[in-house]
Amino acid sequence: MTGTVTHASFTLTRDIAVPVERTFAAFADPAQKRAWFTDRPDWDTTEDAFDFRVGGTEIAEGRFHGGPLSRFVARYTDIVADERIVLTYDMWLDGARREEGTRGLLDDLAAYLEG
Amino acid sequence: MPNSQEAERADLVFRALAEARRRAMVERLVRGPASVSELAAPAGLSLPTVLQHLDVLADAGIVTSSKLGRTRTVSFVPGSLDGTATWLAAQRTSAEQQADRLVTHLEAAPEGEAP
Repeated sequence: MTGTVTHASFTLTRDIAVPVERTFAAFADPAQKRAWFTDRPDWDTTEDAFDFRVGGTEIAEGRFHGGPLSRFVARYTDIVADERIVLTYDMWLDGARREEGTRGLLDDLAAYLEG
Repeated sequence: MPNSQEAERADLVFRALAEARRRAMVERLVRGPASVSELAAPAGLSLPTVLQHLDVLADAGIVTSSKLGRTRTVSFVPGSLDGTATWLAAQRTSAEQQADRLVTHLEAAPEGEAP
């Protein structure tokens, strides 16, 4: 193996004024997931698979206009409705592996409705 | 692709904005034109100091001034910070952009849509 391995870790936080079930549904429902994850004007999908259950695989492969072929393959390792979604994923850019990692997704789905 | 002229302009804009009192002047001037003494009073600055700051802002193309009688009126140049704003908005990681799309999706989805 050549090249270097760069380890990185980051946290993103967004406060969204919608019920927790809606946020979970945006990740769990295929149409909703597609709507914000891959349906974008600068992206052409070449492969699409979505099996949202523990052990299930998600694939999002496509090309940014004028950009490289991007392939995202994820496997769900833990799903607790309205609480958390854990997945691991690999990323390739033009066939070269770029990223692999674990994401603790939605581990704080609290919704603060009484603003 | 930014050409050298744009790069030079960006240098001037960021240099002009790299000073709290000049940013305060910009904040004041986007609300409407002001005389030099109006800009000096709230900041507790001398007129020569204000004029120095205004020169830096004018060199960057952010403000313009005109003299009517004995009063020099300073105005914000509309659109002068658009290029800077676009550049700043583009400096987001793909994960941030994806989170933004999720938020947009959730805030736009009609109330009854979630299961």
